[in-house]
Amino acid sequence: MMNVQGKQISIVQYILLIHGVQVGVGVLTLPRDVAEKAGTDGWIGIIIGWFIATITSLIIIQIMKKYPNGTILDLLKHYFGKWAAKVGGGILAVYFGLLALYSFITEAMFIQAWVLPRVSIFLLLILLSIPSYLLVRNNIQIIGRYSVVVFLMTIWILVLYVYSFKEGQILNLLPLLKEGWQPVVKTLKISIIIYVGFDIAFYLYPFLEKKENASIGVVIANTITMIAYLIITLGAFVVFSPDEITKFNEPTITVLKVIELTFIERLEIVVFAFYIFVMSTKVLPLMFVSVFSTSWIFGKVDHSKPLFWFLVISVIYVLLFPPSVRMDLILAKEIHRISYLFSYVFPICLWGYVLIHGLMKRRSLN
Amino acid sequence: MSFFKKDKKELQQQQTDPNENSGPQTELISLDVINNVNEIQNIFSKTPDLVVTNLVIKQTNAKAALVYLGELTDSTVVSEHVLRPLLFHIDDFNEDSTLKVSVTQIKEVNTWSKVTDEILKGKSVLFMDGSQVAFLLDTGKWPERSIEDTPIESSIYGEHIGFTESGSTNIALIRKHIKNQRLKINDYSIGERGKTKVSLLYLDDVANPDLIKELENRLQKVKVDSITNCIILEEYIEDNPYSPFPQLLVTERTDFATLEILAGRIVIVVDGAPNVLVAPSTFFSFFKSIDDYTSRWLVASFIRLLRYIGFFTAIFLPATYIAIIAFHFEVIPLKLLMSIGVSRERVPFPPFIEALIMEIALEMLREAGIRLPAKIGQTIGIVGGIVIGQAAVQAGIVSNIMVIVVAITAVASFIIPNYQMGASIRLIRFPMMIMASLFGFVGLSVGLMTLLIHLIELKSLGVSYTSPVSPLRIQDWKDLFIRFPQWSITKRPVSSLAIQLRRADSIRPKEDKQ
Amino acid sequence: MKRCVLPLLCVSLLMMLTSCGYQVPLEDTTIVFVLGIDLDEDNNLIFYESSPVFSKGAKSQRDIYHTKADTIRDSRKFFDAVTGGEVSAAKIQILLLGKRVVEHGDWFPILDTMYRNSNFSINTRVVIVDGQVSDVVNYNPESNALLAVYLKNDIDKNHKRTRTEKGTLQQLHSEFFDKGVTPALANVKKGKKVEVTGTALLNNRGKYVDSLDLSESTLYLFLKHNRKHQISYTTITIPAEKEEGIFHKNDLSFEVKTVKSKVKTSHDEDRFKFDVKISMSVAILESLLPVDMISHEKEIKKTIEDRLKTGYEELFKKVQGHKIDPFGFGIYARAYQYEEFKKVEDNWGQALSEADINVTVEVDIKSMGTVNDTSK
Repeated sequence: MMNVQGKQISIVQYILLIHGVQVGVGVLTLPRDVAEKAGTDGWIGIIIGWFIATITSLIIIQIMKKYPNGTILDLLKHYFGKWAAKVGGGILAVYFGLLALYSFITEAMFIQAWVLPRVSIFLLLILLSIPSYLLVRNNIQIIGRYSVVVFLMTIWILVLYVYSFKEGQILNLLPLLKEGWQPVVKTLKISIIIYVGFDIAFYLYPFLEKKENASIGVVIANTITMIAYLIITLGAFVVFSPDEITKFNEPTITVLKVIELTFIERLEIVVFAFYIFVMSTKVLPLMFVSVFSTSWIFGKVDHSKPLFWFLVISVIYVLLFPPSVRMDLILAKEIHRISYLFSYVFPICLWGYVLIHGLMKRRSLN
Repeated sequence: MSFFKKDKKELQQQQTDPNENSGPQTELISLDVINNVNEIQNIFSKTPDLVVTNLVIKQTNAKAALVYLGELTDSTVVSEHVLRPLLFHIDDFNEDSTLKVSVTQIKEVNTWSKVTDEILKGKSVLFMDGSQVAFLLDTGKWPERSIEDTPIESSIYGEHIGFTESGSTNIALIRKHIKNQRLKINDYSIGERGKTKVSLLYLDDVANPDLIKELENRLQKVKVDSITNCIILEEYIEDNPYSPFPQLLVTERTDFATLEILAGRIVIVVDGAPNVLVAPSTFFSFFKSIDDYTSRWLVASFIRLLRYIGFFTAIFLPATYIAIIAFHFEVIPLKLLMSIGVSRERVPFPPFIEALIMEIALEMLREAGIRLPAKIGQTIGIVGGIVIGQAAVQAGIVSNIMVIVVAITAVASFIIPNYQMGASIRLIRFPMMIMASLFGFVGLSVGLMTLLIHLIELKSLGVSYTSPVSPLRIQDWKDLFIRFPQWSITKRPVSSLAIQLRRADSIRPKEDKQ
Repeated sequence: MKRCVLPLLCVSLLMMLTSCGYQVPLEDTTIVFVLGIDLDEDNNLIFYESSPVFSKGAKSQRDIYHTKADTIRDSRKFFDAVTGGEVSAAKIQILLLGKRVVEHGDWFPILDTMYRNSNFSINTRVVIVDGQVSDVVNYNPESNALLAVYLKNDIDKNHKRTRTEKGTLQQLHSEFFDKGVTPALANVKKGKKVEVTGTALLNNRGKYVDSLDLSESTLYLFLKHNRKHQISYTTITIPAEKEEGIFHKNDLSFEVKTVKSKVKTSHDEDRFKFDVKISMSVAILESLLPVDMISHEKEIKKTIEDRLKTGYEELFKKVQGHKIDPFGFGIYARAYQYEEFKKVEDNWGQALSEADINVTVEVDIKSMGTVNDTSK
């Protein structure tokens, strides 16, 4: 049982927390990633990925319904015993910690690449650690509020992408499914990774005020993410010709370079400054989940100490292993592989186990 | 470190008991008048304004002594309504021993501590020979200021009445607007030496009892010598004393305080302060002014929006200027770039130093304007504004773009109706400027992020400070960035945690059908 | 724990003060506004740069430098050595390409750094100079405006008036790589003054092929920028029989209010077929025809349509003759006839030269102006 008094989150915060975790650094390279596999039909893959992600999210909610007053860690304890749950908690803490670390470092790398080329990543990480520490040491309600405010503050970026449609050529998208379904299937690998983040619903469920809205909430969150991805990807496909889109590394930002306004030029720098907020809504909840799990293992409620050490470790890591693009790509590949396991395979298996467990219980009662 | 330790030791001197020499708390007065008078003169040694009048009450022929502090009592009342009846009046019909004076309040006390307290509060004490109790007569009259217009929070159409320094007058002014018996007052006495009367005013069927209890707890934990102003009290009872943002609203307008009570909030009146505190307050209540409600709603909405724009401008404009000039000049359109480049060419300082010089000069000017008497103050304003700005540009110390930036920032920060919030905003500018000069736009983002996080975390009396934006409460948005017409706002704001949310039906009367 | 936070914060902030040197203050940079690339007689690349001078009372408003170098980035080391501040490429407004450069194919990779380095602005207008780039770079407009501002305004205004292509770097990159379109850029010449002469057409490897003059450019832009037609001023003269005398008696000018074009793509017997239908609504602003306008409206309409149709047919012949596709018919082919397009996509110019392009023009005369017949 958990004490959720004073830490409850509303359905809007729940939705935007999940959506915030999903949209992060991946969207910057998304149009190129899907175009590499399927050309201008890549956007269809995003929709299929949405479908799969939503089903998995609903499975997660079904699991959490069996033990509504605790997070996944309490649920593991209920089904597998204290020590197995502690081990499980440790693995989950490490997984989310890795995700958070990877996103954190990639965020700093992008800032260095696009906005401040002369500042070292080490310094950027220290800079970004300050608000990170200030926010994540609180409970989930404050983080939820932060996600809501950031969403409201940055929704206009999507409007910019819609505006960029007018500079483009709609015919680039035709004909649909030019090479058939085969390439679209190939994009699935990427298009389900971009929805990773719904698994923090494992942790959010007990804090939700009205638990009956959990399923609808997670569907809405995935849908908002899908719409955002679609607008950005379609915008990139329309503005760039199909033969050149694979040549840009971050087409999402390059699209913004094309927009010309009378009172401001080089729009991408301004947008990037706001994009730091969007990226932070991915990093910070993941950090929270990781340190929350860590402090749960030791039975404590206050997680500011593990958080502090997490930040120190990430800064030292950058100092010892200065990140480069090549290493980033390798790390990304590894993390994606782990994500398949944790975000997709693990919930399904757990659900299966929980169902069978329930069946056997009923049988033994009879 | 030992440097700091020494100071602490010195501070731990003996603390005196401020209430010493008023006699043990519960000791009773004696039956003998002369003893009582001696005791009083002992307690109030070195107090030449203590007046002791020995008299003989005609009715009972008993010896009596009237003791009071001369400057605190209304001498007319004392001579006409206390001394005269006692000295001259004989009531043939009523021979009992009730005191026959024509004052408004008569209380009986028998302990020295109470006697001392009440004399200090302005009452006169009548000792009668042979009586076990002393009589407290309400003859107090404090020197007071008349009701004047509010100097800091001026309004165009609102009433021109401000709170005065007397707590009872202030409560009376509020009662003028709320003639409802559900308006309750909780009285507390704060301060060892000051014994200031602090009153909580609230509507007891609307305000949240948990909040009242919380306030009470906090007030009772306050241990000070004296509270002379409610902002001093605010520092003791606020949620986060380290935050640059004020968490309790200070106002000197009676109509504004009334609005807050009606919204379900609690007003704290401190005797001796010309303003009152409102708790709990949200960030957005500092941007409201009574003019919003005395103008037409379209006009009021526009001006409200202007205030929020002013807020962001005041915090971010100098920092944005520094960030753009020092890091990201690509963002400026071409023609503006040319003129900025030409004007900055002559300036020897980097943009951060230039901005710092101008901002600090402006702050000094502003503070000097408050300290100087009015006649000199006007001249300094002109000197500062025109001469310093113009001369600095011509001497090449600052660029003229910088002067414009600083001027707009200053004007924007003065739009904020609440002085405390305006001062905080002026302060936050500087860390933003530092962040912008270190990291450009990224520094600004991180600064904004930190500011946001701090605001989201902040609580006022346990209510979240940024309600109704976060947590999101759309129904409160009717009076947030835009003011909807009065007749459409039918509920009290959720951020006051009121227990009764529906105001009395505020429907516009339907059009008369001819 | 809380006590550690404050001193740690201060320490980290102090560490960050060392980043003070990361600033690039405005007045210390040399902001390049115009970049020029040309070939000299020995076929060496020459790079020109023009940047404004900020100090008041300097002799000239801008600095102009040129150097021989291998690549754009290579030229920077010379410019850095010569100019007063750090050279910054973030605000290059115009890129001037000498005609000699584009007449050799395979010049496009020189521009690689402009795409690879995120600092460059991707909206730089690329302009082809008929003649020497140094003539244009050294030109000082009499209105004392900066050359970059002058040129950029010139090109933007003409693009708005549908007389030349904007030709941004992004557009160039798009059209260069797109298999269904060949690039088109603004064309500029220095006579007495620097003037826009129309549009330059390149083939799919970037080699210069032909130019369109101002009126041909207008027709070209009507068809190319399908969806966003600006209200443009067009004067198209309609010569009828040759007449004696100095003053023309057969000219007609109209303003095009809206233009819509539709291209229908089909493929039969080994070749593509494009049916182009252009419908426009016009207002007649000038007429030197000695006739009563209103009663002859139908004939005038027919004449305009015929003239335009002829204009387009000549344009298409020109384009097909050079085996290029500046119109973007390839995009239509790819959208509607994907399999057929895929077969020929690497040689689309050839395929287009064999295609059938039919054009019909529909003109709707909305108004004839305030006066009717101005002849005696």
